Amino acid sequence: MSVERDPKQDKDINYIPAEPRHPDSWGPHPRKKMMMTPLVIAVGGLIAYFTVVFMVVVLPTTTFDPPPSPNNAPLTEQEEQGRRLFLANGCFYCHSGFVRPQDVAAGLYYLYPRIAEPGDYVAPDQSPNTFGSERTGPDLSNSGGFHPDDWHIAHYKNPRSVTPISVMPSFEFFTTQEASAMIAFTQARTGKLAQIRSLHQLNMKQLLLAEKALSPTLQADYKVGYPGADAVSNLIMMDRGNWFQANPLPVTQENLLRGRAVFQQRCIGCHGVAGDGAGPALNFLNPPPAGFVISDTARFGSDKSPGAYYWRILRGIPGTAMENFGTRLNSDDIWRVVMYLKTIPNGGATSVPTPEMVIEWQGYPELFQWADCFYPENVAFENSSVTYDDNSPPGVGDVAAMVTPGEVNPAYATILYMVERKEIPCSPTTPNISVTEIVTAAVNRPTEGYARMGTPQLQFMPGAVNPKDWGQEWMDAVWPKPLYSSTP
Amino acid sequence: MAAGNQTWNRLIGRFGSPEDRVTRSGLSQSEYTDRATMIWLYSAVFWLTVVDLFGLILALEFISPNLFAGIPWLTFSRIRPLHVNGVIFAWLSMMYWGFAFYALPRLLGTKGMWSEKLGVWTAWGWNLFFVLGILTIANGFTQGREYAEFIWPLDVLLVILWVSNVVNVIMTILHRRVKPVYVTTWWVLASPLWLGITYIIGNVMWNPGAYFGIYGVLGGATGNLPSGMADGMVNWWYAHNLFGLWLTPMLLAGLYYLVPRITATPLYSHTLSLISFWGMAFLYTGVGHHHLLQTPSPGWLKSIAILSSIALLIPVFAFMVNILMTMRGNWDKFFTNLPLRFGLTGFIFYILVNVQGSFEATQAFNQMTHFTNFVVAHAHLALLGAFTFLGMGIIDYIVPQVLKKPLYSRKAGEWQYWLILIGFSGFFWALTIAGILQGQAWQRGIPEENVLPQLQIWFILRAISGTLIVASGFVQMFNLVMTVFTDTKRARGRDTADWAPPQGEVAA
Repeated sequence: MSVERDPKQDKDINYIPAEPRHPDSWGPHPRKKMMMTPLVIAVGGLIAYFTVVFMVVVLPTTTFDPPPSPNNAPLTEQEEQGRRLFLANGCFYCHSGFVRPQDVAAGLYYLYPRIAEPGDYVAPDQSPNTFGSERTGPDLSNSGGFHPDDWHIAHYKNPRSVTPISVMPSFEFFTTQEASAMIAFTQARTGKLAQIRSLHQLNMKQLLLAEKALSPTLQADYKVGYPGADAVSNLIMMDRGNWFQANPLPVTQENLLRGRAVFQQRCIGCHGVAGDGAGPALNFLNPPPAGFVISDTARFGSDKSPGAYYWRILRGIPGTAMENFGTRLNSDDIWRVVMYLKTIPNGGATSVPTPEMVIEWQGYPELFQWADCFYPENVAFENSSVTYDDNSPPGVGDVAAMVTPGEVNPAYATILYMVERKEIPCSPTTPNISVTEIVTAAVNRPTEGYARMGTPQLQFMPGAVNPKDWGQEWMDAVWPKPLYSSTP
Repeated sequence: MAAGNQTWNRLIGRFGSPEDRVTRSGLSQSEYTDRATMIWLYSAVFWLTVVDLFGLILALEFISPNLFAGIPWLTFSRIRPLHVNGVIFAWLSMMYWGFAFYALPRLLGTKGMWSEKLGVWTAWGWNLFFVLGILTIANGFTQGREYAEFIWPLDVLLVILWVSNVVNVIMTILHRRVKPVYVTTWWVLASPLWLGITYIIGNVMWNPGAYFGIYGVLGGATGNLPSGMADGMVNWWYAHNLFGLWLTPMLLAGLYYLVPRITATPLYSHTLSLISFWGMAFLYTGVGHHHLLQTPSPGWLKSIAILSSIALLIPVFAFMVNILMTMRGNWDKFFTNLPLRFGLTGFIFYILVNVQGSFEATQAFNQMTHFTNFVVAHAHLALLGAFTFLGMGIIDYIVPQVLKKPLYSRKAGEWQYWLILIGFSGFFWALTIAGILQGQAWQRGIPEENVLPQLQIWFILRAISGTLIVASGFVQMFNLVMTVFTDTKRARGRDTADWAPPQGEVAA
C-alpha cells in the first residue's frame, strides 16, 4: 500500500492533514524489539557510562606514572603564587602550556626548544594543569629567560608598549607583589632549562649595568679612537663575520618603506615612532632602548654596522628588553629594517624615507685595528664571505650552549674583564689581549667562573642576589627607578 | 482538543498500546501547571542576552585590546570563562531544564512535574548560582581549570540543584500514567544522571583544597588532581562530556519532541532511536582526550578518543536518518513554522558539527587545527549553531503553548532567525578562515604573534557578526516580553491563521 496524499495538501502548504501519514515501510512493533523502561535507561545508561569511565578516567589516572623528567625543578613559594595568579587570571586561555612535536619541527627553536615530556607534568606543583586549548599568543611552557623582568613589567602595564602587534589585555591592575610573583613564575618555566636562561638574563643585565657605570672615557665610542664600553659588550656577543657584513639588499624605496612598516609594527613600543629610543616602554626598561637619531653614530659607531644591527635584531641582546626576532622576522625584513634605521638621522622617521637618506656605515680606521687585535684567530673577514675558526665565540642567542658545564660565556668573561680592570681590551692604552685569552682566563679561574654551571655564582654587583630569592628587594636592586606601581 | 489528542495518541502510540492511559485520562493542556518551566525559560532568555554581551566584549577586545584596560573584571581572560560557563550553565542548561519540565508531564501523562515547588526553587537557585558565578569569576575567584572554573562552594550549590532536578525527573517518571517511555524521556532521564556524576568527578569535588579558588595569596589549588597530567586528562574528559553527556543528549531529546509534535508525524524508527541512544552512551563518554592529542599523554588513551570520536558518527547518523525520515513529506513546515525552522537549523548545524568534530579528532587534522581559531569556530558551531538555534526554537514553541496565545510578532521572530543565522554564518566562516590561516602559518614556522595582524580583518568580521547575534537575542527577549504583556491573540487574529499550527497547537 502506498502512502495516500491528501489532494488538499498540494494546493495549500499550510493545510495539515487530520491523520499523520504512515509510511508502509514501518517495522514491527517496538515492543517486539526492545522495551526501554526507566530501569533499563537509568541502570543500563550508568553501566555503559561507568564502563567507559573506568577505561578513560580510572585507568589512566592510576596507571600512567612516568618518571619525572631530568629537567624538572620544584617551584619556589613565590613562583607557585605566580602560577596561581597565572591560572586565576586565565592566562592559559591564550597561552597554552605544552610544546607540541610540530612546534619543534617547524623550527621555532628559541621559544620551543624541546617537546613536552610526560615527566614534565608529574610534580605536584604542575597541578592544576595549564595545558590550555587555544593559542592567541605563544605557548609559555618554556618562557623562562626569554625576556628580562623589566620587559615583563612594561608588558603587563601595556602589552602594546613592547609588542605593538599584540592583542593581549593590559594587566596593570596587578599589585607590585603580584607582578613579581607572575614574573618569577614566567621566568621559572620550565625547570632547569628556564633557570639557566633566566640566570643568563640576570647575569647579563647586571654586567651591562655595571659596564654602564664605567668612566666617561671608556664610554666614548668612535670619538676616542677605540670602541666604547657599551659597544664592546655589544660586539663581543656577535660573530665578527656578521659585524662587517654589508646590507645585501639594494637600497630602494620599496625596501625602505617595507623596513619602516616592519619597524612601526614591531619596534616603536620601545624605540619610539621617531626612532629616538623614547617609546612608551622607555620608563620601564633598564638599560634603556637604543636611539638611532644621531647621524655620526650611524656613520661611525663601532657597533652600528648593518651586520651588527642585523645580528642584534636576529638574536636579541640578553640582559636587555631587546628580543630575539630571529624566529619572528624573515631575513629580508630584518635587512630592510636595518636599511631603514640608517635613514632615521636624515628624517626617515618623520617623512617618507628615500634612498638618498641612507647613511653608509664607515666605521673608523682604529676600529679595524681593534678588531684584528681582539680577534686574531679569525682568518678572514670580507663582505658576505666569512670563515670562522673553532675558537670564534659562539653567539649569545645560543643561550643554552653558552652555559653548558665547563664553558664560559665569552661576553660574560669580556665584560667582566672590562669592569674589573676598567679598561677596554686591545685599546691603545691597554695590552693586547684577545677574546680567547680572556675566556681562557675566565675558565681557569677555579671557583669564581662567572655564570659557570654548577659552580656558585660570583657576586658581581653589590646587591646581586640569587634568582631563587627574587623579590621586591631584588627588583629594587636591579632597577634603580620606581618602575612599577599598582597605582597609575 | 480532540484532534490534538488524536495526533498525540499517534505520536506516542508507536511506543505503547492503543489502550495507553493518556487516551483515557483526557488530559488537555489547560491542566498543566508549567510554573517552573516558565521561570527556567524566562531566565534562560535573559541569560542568553547577558552571555552574548560577554561574547561581544571578548570580540571587541580582540580588535581593540586597550578598550577596557585597567578594569580587572572586564579583562579578556576573566570574561572568557564567564562567557563559556554562562552559555553552558546559564543559557543552555536553564533552557534545557525548562524544556524537560515542559515535555516530561506531556510525555508521561502527569499534570506536572513531581514537585512543581521544588522545580521553582531549583530554577531560582540556578539563577542565584550563576549570579554568584559571575561575581566570583569576575573577581578572579576561580579553580583555574578550563570549564571547571566555578569555585568549590558553587560546585556544591550546582550539584545540590542538579540532584534536586534529577530527583524531580525520576519521581515524575515513577509517577507516570503512560507506561511506555518515549525517546525524549530516555535522554532526559539518562543525561542528567551522567552529567551529575561527570561534574563531580571533573571538578574533583572531593578535593576542595582552597575553597574559594586560587586567586592571589588566598591559598593553594582547588578541585584538582595531584599530578598535572592526570589533572589535565580528567579536566578535558569532563570538559568534552559537558557537550557529549548533557548538551547533545538534550538536543536530541528536544528534536525528538519538537519534530514529531510540530509536524504531527510519528517518529520514524524506534530502532534508530535505540542505536543513537546506546551508541552515544558508550561512545561519547570516551572522546574527551581528543583535546590532548598533542600532549605527552598515554597513546592508548588517544587511540580510544580518536576511535570513539569517529565511531560517534554511527549514532549521530542514526539520529539524523530518524529525524530526516520523520520530516519526509513535512518540509513545507520548515518554511512556515518558526520553532520548527529554528530546531531543524540547529539539527543541520548539529550534523555538521559532528562530522567536523569527528575528523578534527584525527591526528592529521588535529595537528593543523589544534590551538587555532578553527576550534573556536567548531565550538560555536555546536553551542551557537546547534544548541542555541534549537533553544530558540524550543522557547518560541513552548512559550505560546503555555501562555495559550501566539507570539507577539511573527516578524520579530523572523528577524530573530535571520539575524542569528547571518550573524552565526559570518562568525563561523571568519573564525574558520582565521584558524586555517593560523594553522598553516604555524606549520611553516611562523610564530603565533606574527599571524595576529593578518587575523585582524577576521576578528573585525567576527565582532560585526557577533553584534547581529547579540541583536537576535534581544529581539527574542523583546518578542517574549511583548507576548507576555499584550493580548497577542486579538492583535494577531488574521496573521496567525496564515501559518496555522498543527491541530491542538498554538501558533508560534
